[in-house]
Amino acid sequence: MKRIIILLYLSLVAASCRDAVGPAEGDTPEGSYVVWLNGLSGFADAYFIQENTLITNAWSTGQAPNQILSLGNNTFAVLSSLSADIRFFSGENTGTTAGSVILPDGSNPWSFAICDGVGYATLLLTDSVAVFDATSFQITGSIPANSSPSGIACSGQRLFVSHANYPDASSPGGVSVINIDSGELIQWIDTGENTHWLKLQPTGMLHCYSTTYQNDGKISIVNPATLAIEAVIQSGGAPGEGVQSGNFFLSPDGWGSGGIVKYNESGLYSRIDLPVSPANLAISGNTIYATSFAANMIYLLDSATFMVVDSLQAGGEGPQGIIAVDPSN
Amino acid sequence: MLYLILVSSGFFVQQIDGSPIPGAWVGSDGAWFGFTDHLGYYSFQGSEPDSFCVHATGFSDWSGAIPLDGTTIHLQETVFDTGESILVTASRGSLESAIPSTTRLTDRELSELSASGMGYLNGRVPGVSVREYGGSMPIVSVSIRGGDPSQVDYMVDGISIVSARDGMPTGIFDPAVFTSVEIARGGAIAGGSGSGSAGAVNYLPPLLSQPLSISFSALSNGGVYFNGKHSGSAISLRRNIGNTGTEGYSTTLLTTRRYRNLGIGFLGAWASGDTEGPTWSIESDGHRKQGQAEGWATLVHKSLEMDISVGTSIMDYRQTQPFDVDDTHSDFSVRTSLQWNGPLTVRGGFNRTWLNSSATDDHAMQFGTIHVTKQYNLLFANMGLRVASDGNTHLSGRVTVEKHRESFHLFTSAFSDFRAPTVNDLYWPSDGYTSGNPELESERTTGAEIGAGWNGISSSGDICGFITRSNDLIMWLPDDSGVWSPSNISSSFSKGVELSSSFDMGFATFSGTFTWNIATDETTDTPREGMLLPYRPEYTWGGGSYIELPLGLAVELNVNGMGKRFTNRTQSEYLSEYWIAHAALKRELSHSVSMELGVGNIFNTVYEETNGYAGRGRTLRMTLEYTGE
Repeated sequence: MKRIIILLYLSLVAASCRDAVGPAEGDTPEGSYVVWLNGLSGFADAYFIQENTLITNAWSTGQAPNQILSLGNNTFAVLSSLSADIRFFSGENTGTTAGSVILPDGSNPWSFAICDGVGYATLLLTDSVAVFDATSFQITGSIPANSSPSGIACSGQRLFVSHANYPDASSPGGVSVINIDSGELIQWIDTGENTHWLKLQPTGMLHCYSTTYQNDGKISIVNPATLAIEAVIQSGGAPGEGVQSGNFFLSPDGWGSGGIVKYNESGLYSRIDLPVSPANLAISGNTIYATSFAANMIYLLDSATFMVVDSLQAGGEGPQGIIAVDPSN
Repeated sequence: MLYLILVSSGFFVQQIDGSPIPGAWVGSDGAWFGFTDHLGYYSFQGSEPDSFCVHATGFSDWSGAIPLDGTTIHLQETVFDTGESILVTASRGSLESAIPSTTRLTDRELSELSASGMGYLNGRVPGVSVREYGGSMPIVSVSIRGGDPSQVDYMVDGISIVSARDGMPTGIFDPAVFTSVEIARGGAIAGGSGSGSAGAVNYLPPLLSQPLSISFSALSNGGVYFNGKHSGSAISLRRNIGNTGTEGYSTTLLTTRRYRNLGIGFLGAWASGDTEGPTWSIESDGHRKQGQAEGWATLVHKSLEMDISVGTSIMDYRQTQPFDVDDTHSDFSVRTSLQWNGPLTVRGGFNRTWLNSSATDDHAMQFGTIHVTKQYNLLFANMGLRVASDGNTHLSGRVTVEKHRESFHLFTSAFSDFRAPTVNDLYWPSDGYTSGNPELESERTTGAEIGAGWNGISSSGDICGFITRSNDLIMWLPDDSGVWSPSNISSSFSKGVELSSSFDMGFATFSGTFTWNIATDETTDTPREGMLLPYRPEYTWGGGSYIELPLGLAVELNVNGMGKRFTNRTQSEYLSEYWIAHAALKRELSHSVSMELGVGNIFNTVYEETNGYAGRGRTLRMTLEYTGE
């Protein structure tokens, strides 16, 4: 009887060893790909376009990944808010991390930008910007910021930091312009309450996205040289980070009214209805890749007609940020 | 020699037809030594006098000379017109006779539960995993058999005390004021609130004959606990210290009285203290106050029992860092029931609750229930119907067959139960990030178990296998706009085996539990399909010993642990497995006074029950106890 009990015990323990779902190390297929983070699962998937190959759980991102950035040379990085880190990856192989920047625990980093090898990450809960060396992955300094810093971009010697309305509900939002060298506030630009994302577009213009989720979204186009607001697009909804598509930009409105806001830097815009709710967008060739946070899907849209032509099942929950990578660039 | 014989033997208490009477109390001259187990067996403690009394609610008392080892005492069934009754309301009472997979904690275990928190249940009670976190005002999350913590009902003497707001009790009650705590595993418990489809935690109040007992504990972390019980009443005063040093105070007051055929009771708890946040967030200065008061009265006349009770609770949370929060909730409930004890037991009840909240505004909910219960030979069955003011009708039912043969028993049960949405689920305001769902429907859980056990003179043990499936699971998920909202689109499945055993050598007792449990998300066409549910360990285990030494000394050693627990729904992040050890040395200073020195988490093991919240480190405890005659 005793032996039976011991055997049963050991069998049960042996059977109770389910491993965590995680990335396997390996080489990736050739060619362009899109990679997205699964915000509720803590890893990133990749779809290799020419090979039509989907690799789920390709890289571990940290807890609550919030932003993914392409860094060129077939590399990219992911910022995670809860684990408070930025992990750097090479698109050549899965399952490995090239390096990590460890940010202060509990600071809830929101987004980051890298200029000339120096990285800047907004720390939402500590009203500051962490400065790090993007080569050695070491923290090198900190810049004080107004409350609830969220979006960030850099251009020349200027750092642009936008402000959300959480946790400080009284924050007026807008964008602080900070001297990179001195850390001094140069100017504050009123781009609206809860300006939660910034993106320096390939045109050199800074696009500022604001919304209080009351169908009041707007996109402000700021000239980073003159600090003038060149155009304001009162799109309504809750527009997110836009991607360039020819002479226009496409901003996902999955968190607001749904569909896509198509706009240009002169202030013209139109709305494109979709049967899906895109959280983020990436463009490769003639295909738009749209992540759907709730459906755990990535929808492929024709960039000319905006028709859904295919879909991919995400490997995790809550797909959000997505980028297209061309390894040859 | 006589002592050794006594401590390794006992007797059975049964009805006239031979059915066991679990929970029968054994005592003398107003002092109670213990009660029969689920087989109706009483084990001698070694200190009983030559004659004593056996009491069980619904039966006439028995008095006489101490029975011989292995003999049986039969009690005559009767209406509660004689003797003392442990029932304080008509329907209140133990779950042990209706739910075979019930573990009852008493005496030393209750003291440990009070001193260590609900995390003490990990590895001590099979099928249960507990997370307790958040500082001096902890949030307690109990999962039974892989179920969601919201599927656990909380009762006092068989009556639910959870709030319709969130399905949890608002008060923080010190277990030390109660006589025992039952943890029943499996749903469809007659008298439940519709929130116990996985099981229930049931607190049983002290007896009117409770002798004076006082306990004082001081902990190395600064915690100070005091509690006293006497004659149906109990009080607890505590200074609670969180794992990162937050400070809070709490008190619990419980009293029950009986006047002829009228029983009344009052239970109140108030707590106030600072909260702690997870390590992945910056420090907050949160402070929470919460209180709950329950009063009840029961009138018994022949085969009819009428019960009326009122309850009120309040919760207030404020913080200024890292941002302002000012959140206040209050509830007020009225409940009444009428029960007929005939060939069937039939109880009809009505419940109305008014809820005020700075978050969800004001709401009122009401529902009526009918429960029918029948015990016939080996069969025990109950069926319930609940009709709510929103027009929704829900059925629940359970069938148990249990066969006793000498010291062995076999049992099997099947149940189907529901969990109604809470007010928070239905009416949480839409703020762009979260939103309630007024269209939300109840979830449905069905389950079955089969088990066996023995209760020998020096050893006992149980093994039980179970399966549980929940459909239309109420789960908060993001919608197309990223707004988190509850929906009924998910399902889950849980299977497992529970083992428990104990061995009594007279001067020493040894016990152990092991639970293997696979609880998976079964929502089809999602990344989480087939993944383990968050915070459900695949296995938990525990072992303990209590050894009596010369010079009135006794030493207790306990070890418990659990496997890794995933923290998200796609099984990619997890907390590592851990085990922790505890020890205590007890010394009888006199016949009625004892002192105990204990150390929790001897090796200062670093572990987490919840992501971002460190478990309690090494803690020393000194306890002085007085127990009167």
